[in-house]
Amino acid sequence: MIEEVNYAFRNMAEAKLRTVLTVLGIVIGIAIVVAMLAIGEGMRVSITEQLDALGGDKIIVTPPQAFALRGAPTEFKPFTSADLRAVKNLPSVKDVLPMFYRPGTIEYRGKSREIYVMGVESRGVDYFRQFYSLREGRFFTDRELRSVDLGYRVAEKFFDERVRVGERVKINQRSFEVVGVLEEIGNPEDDSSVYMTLKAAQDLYDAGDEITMLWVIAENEAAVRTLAKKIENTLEKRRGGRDFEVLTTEQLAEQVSTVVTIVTFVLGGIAGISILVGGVIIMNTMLTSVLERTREIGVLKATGASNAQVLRIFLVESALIGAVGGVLGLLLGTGLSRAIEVAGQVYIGSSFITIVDVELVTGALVFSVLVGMVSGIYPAYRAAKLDPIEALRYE
Amino acid sequence: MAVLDYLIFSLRNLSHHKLRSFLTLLGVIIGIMAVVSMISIGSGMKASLKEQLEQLGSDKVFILPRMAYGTAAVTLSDDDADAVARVPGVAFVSPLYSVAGDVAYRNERKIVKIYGVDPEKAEATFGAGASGYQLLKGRWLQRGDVYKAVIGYGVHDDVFSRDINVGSVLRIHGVEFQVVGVFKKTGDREKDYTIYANLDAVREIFGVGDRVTLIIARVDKGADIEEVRQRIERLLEDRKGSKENFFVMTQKEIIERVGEAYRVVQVVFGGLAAVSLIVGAVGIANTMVMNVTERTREIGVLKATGASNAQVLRIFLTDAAILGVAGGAAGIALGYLISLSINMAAARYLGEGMLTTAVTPELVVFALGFSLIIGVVAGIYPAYRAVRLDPVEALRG
Amino acid sequence: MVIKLENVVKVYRLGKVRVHALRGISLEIPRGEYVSIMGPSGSGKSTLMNLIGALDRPTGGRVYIDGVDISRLTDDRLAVLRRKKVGFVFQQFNLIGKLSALENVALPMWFAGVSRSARVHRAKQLLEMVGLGNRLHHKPAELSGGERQRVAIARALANDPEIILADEPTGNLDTSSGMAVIQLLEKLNHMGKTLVVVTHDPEFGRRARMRVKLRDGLIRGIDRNGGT
Repeated sequence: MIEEVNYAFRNMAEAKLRTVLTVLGIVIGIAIVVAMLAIGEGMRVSITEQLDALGGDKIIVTPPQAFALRGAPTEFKPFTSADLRAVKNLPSVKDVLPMFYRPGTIEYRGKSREIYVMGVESRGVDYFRQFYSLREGRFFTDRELRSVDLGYRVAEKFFDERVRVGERVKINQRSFEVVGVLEEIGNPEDDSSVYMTLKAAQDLYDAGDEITMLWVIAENEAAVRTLAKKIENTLEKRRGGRDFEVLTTEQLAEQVSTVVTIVTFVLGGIAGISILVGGVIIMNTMLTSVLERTREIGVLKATGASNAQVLRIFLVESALIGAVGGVLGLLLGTGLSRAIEVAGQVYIGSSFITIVDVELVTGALVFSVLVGMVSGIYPAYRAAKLDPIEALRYE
Repeated sequence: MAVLDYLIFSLRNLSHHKLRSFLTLLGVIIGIMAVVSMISIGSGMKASLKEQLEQLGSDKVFILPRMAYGTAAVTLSDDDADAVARVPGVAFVSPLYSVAGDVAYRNERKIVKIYGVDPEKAEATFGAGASGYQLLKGRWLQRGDVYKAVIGYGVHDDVFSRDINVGSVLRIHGVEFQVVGVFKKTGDREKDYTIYANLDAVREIFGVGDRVTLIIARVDKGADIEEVRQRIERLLEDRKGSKENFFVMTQKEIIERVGEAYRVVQVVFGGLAAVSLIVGAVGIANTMVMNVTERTREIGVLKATGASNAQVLRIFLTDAAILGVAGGAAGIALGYLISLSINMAAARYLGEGMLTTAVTPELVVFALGFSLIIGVVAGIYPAYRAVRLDPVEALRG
Repeated sequence: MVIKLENVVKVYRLGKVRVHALRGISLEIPRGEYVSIMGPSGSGKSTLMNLIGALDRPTGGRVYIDGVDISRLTDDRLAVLRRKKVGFVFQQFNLIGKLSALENVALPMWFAGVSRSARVHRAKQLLEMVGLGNRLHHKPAELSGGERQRVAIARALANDPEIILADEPTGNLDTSSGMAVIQLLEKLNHMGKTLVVVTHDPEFGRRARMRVKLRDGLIRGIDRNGGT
């Protein structure tokens, strides 16, 4: 094998520009695919990490998600405190945390921006400590109906000046005091939210005891699945129908994983078309090479090479082109995904990461060698089948 | 030499190595095919969306709250609807309440979208003109219909395992409704998979009082719709507070907003596809380099027989340009076929008209022009190398 | 007999025309013999050479190389036979330009599966034997015609074959280099190799002990003795 590789390098060096262009085709294709896959994997890992941080002992009860998108806005019949109590009374339930979530506006120094208002009792902060950490100030208490904590973006990016602790803002026309600013969470939605105690939010929207979603904390992780079922049944009876979703963090992670995988495949697939073209280039170059080296092939056979040995020589050469292209493409693709990560973090948040993991690296390398080999099969076959006498006669 | 001479010469050169030329073409074809498919799919999505949205009618203003997770930033109510009705230029308003509800038919239960509409206004708002709603069977809701419903085509034949027809009984959150009408298939998934029932009845079931999630205001004939829109917006700002919490939109604005989203998709997908086109260009350059190497002696002869540098350059550039254009043309044709088949597949799975693809004349011209440029750019350096060969050296091979 | 031909016929196609290169050749060459094959162009000399060298198979009749009937061998077996039994020397040298002299000589050993170090060692020895010990790493372009042919001869010896086949070995050389090559080949014959030379140079041809005259695909005559 070393011999063939050595020989292949000689041949590649003989026509440098041609080799460069041929390898370039693969480099570009592999680089783009690597970047796409790195983005996909980053998305998947980032989200599942966040969900893992939540812990496997939690269940979320929310409005159905499938209707979020098009057409006339669809309302959701909210949960009530009675619903909450019913769930709390179920076995294996350690706690139920109600949340109130609505879009709203914030006004500061004359400018208004769109935000989300999240109302949650202060013990929620303890449960979700990994997410909600403070940059400045403190968290609201349950007695404060006019105190608010601002998400990172709201404080730092929404207005020309930073909003500081102690200042006042107007949320949906009502005046609130900023008691704290949160550290960046990483996704744009959470970072564009403001946080206050549940009662304050319900008041703000004149929503009585409406609850948008429930976080149920189970006593232990093992109980979670059966508990979820029980919650479903209980609420269904109360509401007259199953117009909500109950998901364990595990199920949530699965759902996300599936979506991301599909997106990754689509992006990777389209990017993969360029690898196809790269393969065509390799085939073309090898065919020309075989043609040009007809005499040489005759000599190889005359000096004792069997057909199989000739086949191997050319196959190794095209595989090598693939390999070199793969390595360079991998490097380029990694650089590209880093660049995209940097840009993405500015626009989306620190949760946007790209990951080039071991699997991607080996996959890319193996794949590029394969592309080289497959593209080179036909030319190598032609070389192997050359009649030595004809070949020696070739001018 | 006239352009035609160059072309003929090039064709002969390229046909000398049919396989090589074909493979080079293949690279460009694949690239253009990918780009054309992506762009035309994106255009198609935009176009079919536009078509559906146009059915909303250009004489209406839509008022809705900003929403997330099924919750609204502000609550609109019957009072707000009445106030809008009093705005000069407004002919009448039709309030709607839409909700995702648990619907049972026979033994099955599914979550289905329900539009609560005012029965008296329903036909005038939806049926009249080109709103896209046409009855397949039965009738519209009428004054006095409390627990009656009209269903979209998708609900009729797809949501439940048995078909629902006029006369069937549905249970919405346990309350019985009788189906009095079925709409024809519109191709819009939104419209087809919805149940339309009495506004008050629906609101009562869900316990939301006089809440409203959408107000459709029909504008007087002859009134300036943009002016009316602004009046409504000001009115609501007074009543509700910040402008950011609700939307007052005409059909034009809705179309624009939605179009923006698809533009992003188009750019991303088109961009990725364009990468393969770039690789195709690399392929052309590669082939040209190989051709130059092979035709060294020929170049010597060309020069020795009087060809100027410019003419040799032109000869090789023409080769490259032809590869580009031929690849582009074939790629466009194939891209068109691909988008056609995607269109057909989409019609089967997503509903007709959901996804048409648009290979417009502009796209064709753009693609051809682009592939010509690709060919020429790819061919420049190799052609330059050809020109630089010393004739004596070249003749020696 | 190391080489035996029985009624060998070779027909090949040149476009639409069928060319009868050999029309029935019977020939026996003993081991260690020095043979020359002469004849006008078109007489079938090269075709005969290709058959003896196991580069080709006869259309009719049989060819035995060291007792093996080559007409029944597969391509792969043919290659193995060729590798072991025959060393070629061509008129146009046919060295591989991108490889050094050493690498060119090592080539047949690579195909025979010899280890790298053994190959290099033997290639060096062979090149020294042909007087090119100081040109090991030169590429063919850096060598004179005579030197190139000597490298080719060294290559032909790589796997220590029974038979050396030289097709117009002096055709592209000047008189003195040509003479050197002839003498080198004859030295190999003295060492025990069977030497078969195709030439149209009568001076060269006369030096062989067995002189085969070919015309129109048939043997016109075989002279023996005489020469060196």
